[in-house]
Amino acid sequence: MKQRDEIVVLTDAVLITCIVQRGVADAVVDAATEAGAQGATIFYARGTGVRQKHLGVLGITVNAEKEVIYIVAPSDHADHIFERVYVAAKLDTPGMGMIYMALLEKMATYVPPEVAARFGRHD
Amino acid sequence: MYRPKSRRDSAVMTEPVELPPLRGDYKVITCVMPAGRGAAVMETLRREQGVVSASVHHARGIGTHSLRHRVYSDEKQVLTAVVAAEHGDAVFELIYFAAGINAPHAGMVMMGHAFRAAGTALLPLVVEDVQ
Repeated sequence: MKQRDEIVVLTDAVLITCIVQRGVADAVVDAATEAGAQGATIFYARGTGVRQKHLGVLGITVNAEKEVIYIVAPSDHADHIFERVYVAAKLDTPGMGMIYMALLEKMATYVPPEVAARFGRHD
Repeated sequence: MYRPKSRRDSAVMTEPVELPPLRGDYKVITCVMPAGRGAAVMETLRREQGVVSASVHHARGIGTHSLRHRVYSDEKQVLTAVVAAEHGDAVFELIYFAAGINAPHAGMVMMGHAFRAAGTALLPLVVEDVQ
């Protein structure tokens, strides 16, 4: 029987964080889901930087309003999602944004009991 | 070599300020939860563990399991807490249950690490709060 204080902890997960100009997040999420991501969390931010100083004329075209996208993915799938997002967000162009991924020590979410039972207990 | 550019800079340099250690072990705990629960979880963190080094912001969540979640995004709140490594597991568990992550479509909680941080000291627990 499932206990109230039982947490199914998942390891080998990676958090991909992508910062893009406002309006680009939907394209990023589409690319990530096509690549196999299960979901994404998006929020707004305002990015300040050296765009006017170092990008010249290009700096005018960079919107300071940003969207930040969190994608949690299994570590063996994360590189694929990372690359698809990189291409979709055109991050090879200066000023378009940035992306990074960091290993998570653990994560937890709702895991249906039948799924947890299929993988057995790991005490 | 650092050369103060103004009197204000030099004044800052001469004031004895204790900086946080160069390297430490901290945990960064991030929780994506349904909108509206953030303030209650923050209050639970303060009351039960004395954690005040946390912040909450709004977000929208997109899932892929159903067409509805692909078309409409859910309103979410994201809580980020930074705590000393020895408190990481306890705070992780507390957030998991306080945010109600143990229910379908509620969100997730994840834990990473940081090697330098400040302002993560825990408040002393107040007896009335615990009771």
